[in-house]
Amino acid sequence: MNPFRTLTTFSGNGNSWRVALLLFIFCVLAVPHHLRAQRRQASQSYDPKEVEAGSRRFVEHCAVCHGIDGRGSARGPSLTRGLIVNRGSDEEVAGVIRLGAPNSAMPPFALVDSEIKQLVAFIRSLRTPAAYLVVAGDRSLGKELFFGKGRCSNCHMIRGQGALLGPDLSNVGGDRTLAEIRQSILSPALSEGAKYKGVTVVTVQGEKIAGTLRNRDNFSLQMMDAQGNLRFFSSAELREVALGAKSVMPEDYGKLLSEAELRNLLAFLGSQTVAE
Amino acid sequence: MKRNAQDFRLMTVLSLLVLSAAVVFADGPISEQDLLEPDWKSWLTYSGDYSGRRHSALNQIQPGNVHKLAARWIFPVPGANRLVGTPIVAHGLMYVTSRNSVFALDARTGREVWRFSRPMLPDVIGDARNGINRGVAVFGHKVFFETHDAHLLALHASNGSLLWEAEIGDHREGYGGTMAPLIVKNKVIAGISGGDEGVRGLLDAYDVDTGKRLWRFWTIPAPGEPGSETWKGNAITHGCGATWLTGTFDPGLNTLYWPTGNPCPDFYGGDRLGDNLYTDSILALDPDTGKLKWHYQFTPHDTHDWDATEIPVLVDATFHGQPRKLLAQANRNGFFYVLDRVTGKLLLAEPFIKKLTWASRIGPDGRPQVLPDTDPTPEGKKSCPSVVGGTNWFSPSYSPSTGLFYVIAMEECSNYVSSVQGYQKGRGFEGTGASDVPGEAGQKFLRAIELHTGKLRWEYPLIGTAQSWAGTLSTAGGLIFLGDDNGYCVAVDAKSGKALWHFNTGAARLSASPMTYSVGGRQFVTLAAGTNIVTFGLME
Repeated sequence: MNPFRTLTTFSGNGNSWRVALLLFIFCVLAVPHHLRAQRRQASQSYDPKEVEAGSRRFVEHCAVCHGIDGRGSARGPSLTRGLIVNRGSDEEVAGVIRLGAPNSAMPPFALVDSEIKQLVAFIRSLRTPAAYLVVAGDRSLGKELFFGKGRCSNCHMIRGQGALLGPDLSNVGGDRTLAEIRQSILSPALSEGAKYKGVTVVTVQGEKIAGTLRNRDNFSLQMMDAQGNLRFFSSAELREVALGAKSVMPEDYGKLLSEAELRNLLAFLGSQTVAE
Repeated sequence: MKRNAQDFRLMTVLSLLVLSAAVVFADGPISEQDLLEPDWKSWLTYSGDYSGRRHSALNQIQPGNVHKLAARWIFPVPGANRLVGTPIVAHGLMYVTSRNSVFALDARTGREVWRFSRPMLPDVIGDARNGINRGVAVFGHKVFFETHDAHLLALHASNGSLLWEAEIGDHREGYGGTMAPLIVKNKVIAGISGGDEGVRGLLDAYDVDTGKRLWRFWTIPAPGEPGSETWKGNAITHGCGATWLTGTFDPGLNTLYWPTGNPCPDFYGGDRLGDNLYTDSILALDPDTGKLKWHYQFTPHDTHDWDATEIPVLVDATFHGQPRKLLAQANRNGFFYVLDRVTGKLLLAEPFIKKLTWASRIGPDGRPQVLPDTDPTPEGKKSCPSVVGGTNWFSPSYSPSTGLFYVIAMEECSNYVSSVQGYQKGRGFEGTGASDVPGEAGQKFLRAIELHTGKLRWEYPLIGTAQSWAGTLSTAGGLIFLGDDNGYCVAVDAKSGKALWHFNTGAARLSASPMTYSVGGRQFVTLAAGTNIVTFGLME
């Protein structure tokens, strides 16, 4: 696997990711007041070259626990989630690298300041939710696409508008990085939303119900039927469970959307957040 | 209850005179005989007995009444973040461990009677840094416990008072303590963690009374010693081969069987060409002297972090027409092995997972026939099983009545990435790592494997994301208990694999193996679930 998967995904979007990384929205939504000034100061340091150098250092020092792509492994958590990586200042992230995290397996790393700066830049690029970035593109055209010919709202909902079949996207910009949103659109099988698989069950009474899966374990199953009703079953109430192999999200948006349309859609989705 | 009257304190003797002779004190002593022939009311060692079968003779809970099993008590372990240990029960007193802490509980109610706790140190590294701890050992009136900085402590069984302390290894050199010690012939056998941190692996024996070290076996030879010829390059001085999982013991053969961990750096083999003895091996040791009788290496020159730290299960059975003393292990590398434990000779090796791409088979010479192009590369190389392995340290079990070996198996692959890395004190020594294969989810299964053929008898698929680390327990009641992939404690029929009972513990990720015991004539089943100790018993 390419250890720089996340970055190459970004690169596919031309120069916009560089712009995005450099231009943070300073009235950062949902970030505590005392952190906002630090974030403003910190945001000026993310030189794309530093991000790239940081990615190499990351493979050297961090990947064994946090995974080559920073999304975690059996040994350590994902760096795309968590309070400090998401809400902390650059100095706080650097402090964890320098001193280690108390009560965890994260050890201190004796690296020089310039190396730590590069690592911070790379970690930021992994996890910065899209809503914290200015995404190049026309949001209003993206909105038209979402609710119009893109047919996104046939399955997805934003703030009560749209449909129930797929994941709600009201906070997609607050939850996901630009790279993750882009991947969800272009390669839905690889995205975290892939758990929204199609499912058809047959009850012991013979009723056949199709819909999308919400959760499942050895003893129960939770789904939404095609009419948008939540349906819960114990395994004993079901005669058959046929699970789709993939997410129900169409896989051909890469062909259907022009580069400009994709940018507009990303600009619109990236700005969606439920934070005040 | 067998016991030596001379061992009793005066108070106990006086009390016995006053009370009925049938009264067993919760802090009564544990004798060598108790360990050799467990009555199964207690659960005295990590695996329940010396054989590592994790099979209890208790049979009150059976397929016919398991539907009446219900939670009896829950003990939320103070300060815990993820419990991995097996509780020890001695005469109704339960010991559970967490981050540098031991808690003694009334095993019938879960009420705490004492606790021992020591602050965590900031400069411990690796798994021990988290306070991962698999439990205590008990003997006489003492409880033995490893702190996260690789010290062995003896505590008084009645109140947790510190009796003696020994340093196994210097935590500043990467040594850590995570394992449950094992008592063998008046000795505490204690291993270490640090197997991704560049330690030189070791296994120690200490006098139970004084804490004096009686012997040490280095799992990595010093340069120039026999075995050092299997290390070409500089890695030998920080070669790992950690000993962080409790081994097993055959009193008849007077042999200790101990599994060892991966070589370091884990994923880069260029600076340690050769087999890298005695990593990823079973060591057969004389418990009196620590001398090596034989060894068997499962994964020579491992570059995938496939520690052999899975339980070596000892079984006496007729094998291919001949009565034999066997050692069975489902190894992280994906093969199920049966060895003759007298000689160390390989008798059988069969894959117990389907996603296995690194070797075609284990040859008649006992060595894997490694397939080309499976080593980690700087760009990343997909290989199977995953870095977590076909299974891992969580316990399998073996039932003598079914002849089946029960193991939680995982079907998953990883992308393995290597890079040249030199050792640096106080740091991980991995030579990079592994990550998930995008779009490929792993899946766990409870698999019942025939001891004599290595073939699958049945399997019980665990629906979920394969993030759990829970093991199994077998009982003479004909049940296999396990932790599933969604926080459920589950009982399945040992013969058929049919699920008969389940309880949602609420733990996001189970990471321990169940155990069972009996107090006041009632059988209980306990599982460390997330941050709680959860105990089940039949409804009256």
